[in-house]
Amino acid sequence: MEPFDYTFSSFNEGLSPLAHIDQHSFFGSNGMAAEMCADVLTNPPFLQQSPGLADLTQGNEDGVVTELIRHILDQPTAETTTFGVGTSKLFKLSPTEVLSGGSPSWPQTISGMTEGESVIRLKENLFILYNKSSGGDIAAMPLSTEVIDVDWGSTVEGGIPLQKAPHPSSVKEDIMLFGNGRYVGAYIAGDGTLDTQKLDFGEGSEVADIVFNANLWWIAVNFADGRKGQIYLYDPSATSNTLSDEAGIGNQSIGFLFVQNGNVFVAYEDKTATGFIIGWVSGRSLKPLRYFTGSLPNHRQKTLYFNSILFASANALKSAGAAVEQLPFQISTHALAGYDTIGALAAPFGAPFVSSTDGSHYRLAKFSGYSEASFWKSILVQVSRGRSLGMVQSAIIETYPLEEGASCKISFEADYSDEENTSSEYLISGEGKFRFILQSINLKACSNVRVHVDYSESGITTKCPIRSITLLGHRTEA
Amino acid sequence: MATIMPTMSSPRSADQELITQFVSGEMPLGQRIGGLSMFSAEFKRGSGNQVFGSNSKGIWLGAANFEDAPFRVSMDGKIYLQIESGALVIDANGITQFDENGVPVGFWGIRTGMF
Repeated sequence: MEPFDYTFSSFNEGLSPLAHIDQHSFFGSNGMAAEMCADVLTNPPFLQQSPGLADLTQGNEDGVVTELIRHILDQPTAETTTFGVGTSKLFKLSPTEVLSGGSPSWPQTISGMTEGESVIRLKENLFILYNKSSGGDIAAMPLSTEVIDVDWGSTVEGGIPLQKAPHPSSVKEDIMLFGNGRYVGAYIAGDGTLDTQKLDFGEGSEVADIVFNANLWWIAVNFADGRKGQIYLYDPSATSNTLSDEAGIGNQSIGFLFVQNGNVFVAYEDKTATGFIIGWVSGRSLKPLRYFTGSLPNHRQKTLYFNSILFASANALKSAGAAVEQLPFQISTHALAGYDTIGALAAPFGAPFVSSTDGSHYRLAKFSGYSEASFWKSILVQVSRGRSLGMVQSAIIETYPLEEGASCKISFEADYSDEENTSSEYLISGEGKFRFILQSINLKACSNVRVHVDYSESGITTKCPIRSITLLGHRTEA
Repeated sequence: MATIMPTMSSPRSADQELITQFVSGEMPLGQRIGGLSMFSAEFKRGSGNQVFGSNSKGIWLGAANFEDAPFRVSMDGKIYLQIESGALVIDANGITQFDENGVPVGFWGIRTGMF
């Protein structure tokens, strides 16, 4: 009988590189998951529950959020004020509340708007870029009066209606650049010039996102229904009529650009493959970093959180990055977003805000407490060797000293999660305890095994951080 | 006791992974050296319209674009100078004066074979 051991640890390494292809992947390091919805970011290297969600005061249809909020301004306009735009209204937000009433009365309806696309502050004005049933426009609102000019973009000198298209926007000093279908528009507040078609990328193109980095505008453009993507660089003063440089990403579609620490990260999709990609612009090439499942996030669904990029994908929030640079770059499913359809994601006051809908209910929620939807399933570990199968006999679980009420359940799944060869669930709990020994695991001899950490009955107020799980067993002749 | 090894060694740290490798002959996207922006097809010094630039059309001074510059030299050697009432273009044949609408209004030829 040959004894063996295997330790799951360094949970901060997130999902397996192949988790987007196979939820029973064998490939990965000690701490990698094949499936998860858990927090491996904020307290590395521990594994703990995902953050839960709490609706902002008046942050659902019983309050004033009666439609999906589609974009939230990530940079507050005052210490406790930011704004979000929905399908027909502009919302005023504080760190805890969706404001109502006042003069003018919040939320404010933007007449004709059917899709808010982005909200951005330039100097002392807020601009709201939006679509209508046909075409689009830009609304302007002085922050001092909060009175909205709903068709500012089409009535100001030089302005014409926008295309009906995504309208990502970005500002630098007194310049606003924005996407307008096949065009990029520019507004220079210094001299009051608006040109909604400053740059033209041609028929069949669509601007996906715009950011400012390293004294240049970076413009992501998709062509041919997202079959080809290109990143262009543009003159920082937005006065030139020509582009400065470009990098192609080939037959792939760009979701968003994100600037962090001087690096430009890109979410994109290879439509011929499974999953989506987070990469970064390195030199003249786009280097894929990690892959993920779900959906391709857009310019309204990204923010910075714990030194990582937090973004929406299907009904979940993914984290890509590392809490500190000395740790590996990871990707993980960090939390659920509430309802299945996500509108906007931002963290204007620190705790992320996420809006979502199920089609008839709407909510704007922020991270609060812990989620009982959390779980973590490791990659599969081959315990057999040659003719011998592995027998997992016991396990040692190391945790952070647990607070009163903290708990989780751990079980072991053998042979590709065969229901007939899955162990009992073992409860991990006990105030002050940090080392648990499971003396006898009721698992039959198997070829492979994985660990399942279940937080479904862990409550929402107390975290249960796990540092390592060690399997001890021996091999036996089949 | 035999320790089972993971199928993948621990990945590199983020600061090791997010490093741009130097590639000989390749210029990073949007490279800037001081106030000089270097791109694959042009370079620019300055910002806004206070720009000295060079690209496949020539060199220019005083505008974001070659075509808008009050001073520019094309690749075929023509010198363009913006003046109050139009422009002067100096080429191998002489100096041509244009009005604001681009209509030639004067010419000073260069005589050859004198020396």
